[in-house]
Amino acid sequence: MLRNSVREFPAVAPLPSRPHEAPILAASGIDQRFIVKGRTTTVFDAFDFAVEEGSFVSIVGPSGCGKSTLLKLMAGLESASGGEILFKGKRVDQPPKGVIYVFQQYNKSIFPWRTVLENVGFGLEHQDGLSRASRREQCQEYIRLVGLEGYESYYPSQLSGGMQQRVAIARALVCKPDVLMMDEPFSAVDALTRATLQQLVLKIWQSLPVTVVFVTHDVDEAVYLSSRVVSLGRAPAHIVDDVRIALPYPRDAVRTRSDARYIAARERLLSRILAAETACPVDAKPERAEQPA
Amino acid sequence: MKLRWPGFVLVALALLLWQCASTYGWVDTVSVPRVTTIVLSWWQNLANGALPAQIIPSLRRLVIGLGVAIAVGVPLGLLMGVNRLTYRLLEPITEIIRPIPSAAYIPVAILFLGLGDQMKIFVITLACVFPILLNTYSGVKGIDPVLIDTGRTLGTPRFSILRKIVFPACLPSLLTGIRISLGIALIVSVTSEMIAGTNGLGYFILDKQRTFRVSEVFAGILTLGVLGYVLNLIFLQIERYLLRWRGTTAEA
Repeated sequence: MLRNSVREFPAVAPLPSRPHEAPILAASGIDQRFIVKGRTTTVFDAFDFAVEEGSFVSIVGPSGCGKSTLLKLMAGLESASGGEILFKGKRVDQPPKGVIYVFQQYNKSIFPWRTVLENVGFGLEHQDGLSRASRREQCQEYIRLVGLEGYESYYPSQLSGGMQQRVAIARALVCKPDVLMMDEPFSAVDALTRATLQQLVLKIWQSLPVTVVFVTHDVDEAVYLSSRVVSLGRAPAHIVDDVRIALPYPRDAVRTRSDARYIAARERLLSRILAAETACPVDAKPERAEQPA
Repeated sequence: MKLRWPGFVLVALALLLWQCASTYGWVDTVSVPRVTTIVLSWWQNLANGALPAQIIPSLRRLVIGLGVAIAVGVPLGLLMGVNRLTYRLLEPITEIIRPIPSAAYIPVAILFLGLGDQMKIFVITLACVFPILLNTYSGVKGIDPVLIDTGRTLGTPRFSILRKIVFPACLPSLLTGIRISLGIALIVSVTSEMIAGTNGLGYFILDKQRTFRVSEVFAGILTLGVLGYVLNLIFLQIERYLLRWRGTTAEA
């Protein structure tokens, strides 16, 4: 399925933290083109990509390479010009139940007229056969998980950015998704909040049966969080690198980052991204960039 | 919000100047009576029931007219916002009728609906529906697509997206439309009563003017001012309650 076979990172033996099974999400032969002022921009041209169940996959890449678009396509929020997306073997043509997208712009994604509790419960309101009490109970559970207990009756305008993103995460989790799509979820918060939110996402991924697809432009964040990092090049999108991060979980905000395997993975990804960027500068009319051997 | 007194001091100063102007003959006392005379006449007309008897029918028509305008304007505005076909269908007719001053179509309304309440309520509704419709529409248009996509990814059915996301998201803009229409409703109801009235504040003012009871004319105008102020105050309270989720309360 994958254009590039997944390479084991050479420095360590494969150490999957969870059994990686058949792909839960697979994009195959994706075409996506935009026509702006008569010029056709090709974002995807026969692009293949797959996400294994239970994995934590990060997609990194320069801005405009189509990583957010890929995420939106897989979440059923946009539709491609060609090709197909399969979620659990079923074709995705609208947002499938079981895949939930967490937006980068949490302040635009949160419902400002709803309290924390009402925001978190939003997705449950369209599920039949749930009593008010059990809905509330489930909401409370996830509010506790993201560390917002005591803030149930607050309105978003009374919360910090990091807390708003926690609400968005709890609101997604309460629907018990199989896949959580996170589009640069921490790019708009300060560094310290970001570090605590990274810990939170890791805790959630380890304690719940959820697959995470995480888009970021930050290679460090990607390596630190993920079991696999895919690096995309642009125009049209192509996989520059696909690396398994064989660092054990739970990961430590300080020690993991000084681990030799972490440093090596980071160096490899960064150097390849930079090489791809040099080979294919932004303004040049790009031919398909050289794929790494 | 709390600091209201400087504004009231200015009102008091203006009234004082007026009082002096009439008392010392700077203006013609017949056409501009003293403030005290007006207030006294206002009080007498309130006490003997003459004014309340005019306020009630005016208020009743205003509330019904505005209510119908909300009931028509809000759903149409929502529909125009979410459905391009509806927008293309209704936009031209909206833009043709909207700029016509309400006074201009009162004579036509009289032809069709007579001189009674129906005509007045119709005219109020027609004048009020456009600010509500257009503000609802622009409120829907101003919704960030991220908010709609959030609803979609959370598995929200289409109609629920309209009801639970689009409607509350455009509520601030919608309420602004209603507030504009509230002012228009008062103007149009008085105008319609002046043109074809047997009761109401507009009729009261015109009737007193025809019988040269100038202080009562002013008493009628004073009533309109107070009525507009109170209606707006009530509306602001409703608005503040409905938009209580907004962090910083916008200055009224």
